[in-house]
Amino acid sequence: MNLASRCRQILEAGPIRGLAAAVAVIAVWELLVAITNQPSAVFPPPDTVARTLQALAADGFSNADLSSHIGRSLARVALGLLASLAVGVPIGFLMGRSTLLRRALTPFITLFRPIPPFAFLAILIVWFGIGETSKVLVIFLGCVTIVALSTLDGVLRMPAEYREAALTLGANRRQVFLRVVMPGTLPQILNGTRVALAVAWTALIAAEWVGTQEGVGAIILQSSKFLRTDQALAGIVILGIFGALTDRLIVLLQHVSTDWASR
Amino acid sequence: MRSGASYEHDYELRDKRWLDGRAGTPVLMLRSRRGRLGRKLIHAVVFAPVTYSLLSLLGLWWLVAAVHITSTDILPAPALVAERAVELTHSPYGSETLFGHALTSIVRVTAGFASGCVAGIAVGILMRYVYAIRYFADPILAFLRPVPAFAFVTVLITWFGLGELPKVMLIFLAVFSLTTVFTAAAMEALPPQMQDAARTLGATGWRLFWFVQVPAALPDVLVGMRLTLALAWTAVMGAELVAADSGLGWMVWNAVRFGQTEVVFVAVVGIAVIGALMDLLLVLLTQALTGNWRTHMRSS
Repeated sequence: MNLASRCRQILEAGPIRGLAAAVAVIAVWELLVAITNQPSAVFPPPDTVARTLQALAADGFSNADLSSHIGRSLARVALGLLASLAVGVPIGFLMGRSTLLRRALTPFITLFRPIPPFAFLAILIVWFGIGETSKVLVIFLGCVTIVALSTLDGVLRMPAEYREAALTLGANRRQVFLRVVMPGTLPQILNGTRVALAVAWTALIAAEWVGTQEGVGAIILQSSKFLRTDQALAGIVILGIFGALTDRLIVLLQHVSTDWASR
Repeated sequence: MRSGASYEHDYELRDKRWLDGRAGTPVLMLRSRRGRLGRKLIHAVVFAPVTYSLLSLLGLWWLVAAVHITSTDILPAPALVAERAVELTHSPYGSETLFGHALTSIVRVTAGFASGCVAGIAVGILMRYVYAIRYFADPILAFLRPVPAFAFVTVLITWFGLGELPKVMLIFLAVFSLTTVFTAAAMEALPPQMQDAARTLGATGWRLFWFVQVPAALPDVLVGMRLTLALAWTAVMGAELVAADSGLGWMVWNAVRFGQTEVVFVAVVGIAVIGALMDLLLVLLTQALTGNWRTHMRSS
């Protein structure tokens, strides 16, 4: 192998690319700070944000550890997303099973899906106040339609031959569902979950904007109120890190759970 | 050319169209290849289920409100909301009437959505052809995609003040990153045989781009745009939550603050209706633009 292609191979590796991109972003950021020449309170350079991030990790934010803020946010996302999976997946399977149900429910889902989570949030606050209930519910409502539709999509897309083959080989209906339909639709379900995750983070930030002292969204909001732009940006970086991590987690699940496809 | 069988086929697929509309999978091939019958079909598909779901929702809403399980402060009856909506069309709420607020929000969404789409599509196309851009953009987008644009709202206000610019920028941010991802994926999805065939027939350079790449990618890009349009509406509600004195989003939050539940419902329904209409517009645009390309591609 010659040197050029070896270099190229190293450059193409995932972590190296991520690092290169991070360096590029920081360089552009520094450049913009230098060009715009704004005070640090308005447009802080990257190293200030890094130091703020360090301080946040060490001292916490408004009487709570950084980890407890992050934990609160993660718990809300997880609870909302899991609830939407628990409700959405069975609905999707039922809709895949019965044409009648599919015809009856699809229009509702179509109607509800484009409604912004913020709109739900407004009504939920009127109904349930600003407590945890409306926070988790808004995430749930944003995700459940996506999960149900992707499950249905998976069921409808699966070739009928798979089911028929299993039946011919003597599987009963339960076995067909557990061994064929479930694993066969899993890729689509996980795809939907990935889309839903992005919606969940948006809904979370919306939910934490209103009446809470805890969570990453609260850090961003409170910081901006006191013109701590560096702290707000640090909050966004934290959000990005955990958003990307949870996204990777689902991608990993996709690889693990669908290895039957490559077998 | 068409037979009863293929009509059946189309009709069967109608559920799928609803499904895939925003699920990100291209199914634009389903419609638009028929003339008059096709139009009938569109009507049957688009209007019947929507009417049915709207009517049953309204019925349910009316019923729950009528039996007084909850107070009017929690769930106002549909008639009450309609009454308030009619009233708000001529008497101003805050600075403007209902129409004024709606128009403000529509202008913001349109500006942010259009600029986000143009920039996103441009970067997505560049990612296909320029290695350096692809090299850096991929990891950046992977990081940015799960970050809600709304998180940037206060920072944008710090930078750009309280005017229209930060609001439009927020919508732009919400639309841009996802449009880029969609466009890049759509550009990659061109079957290599098609490119080879076009090359064999002598197409190069811009011809290859304009007559092969663009038609192949456009349907997927348009499907992606439907998704980002919904995001744009989310973003405008966020922008109007933080610092605004007009717009449907502002109406919602102001009404929440003062416990005017009917106004909350008026504005939320308004957002849903306008969002649905803009979505329909995008579908019609898709029809007009892509016609039957995908049909030919798939059957070839």
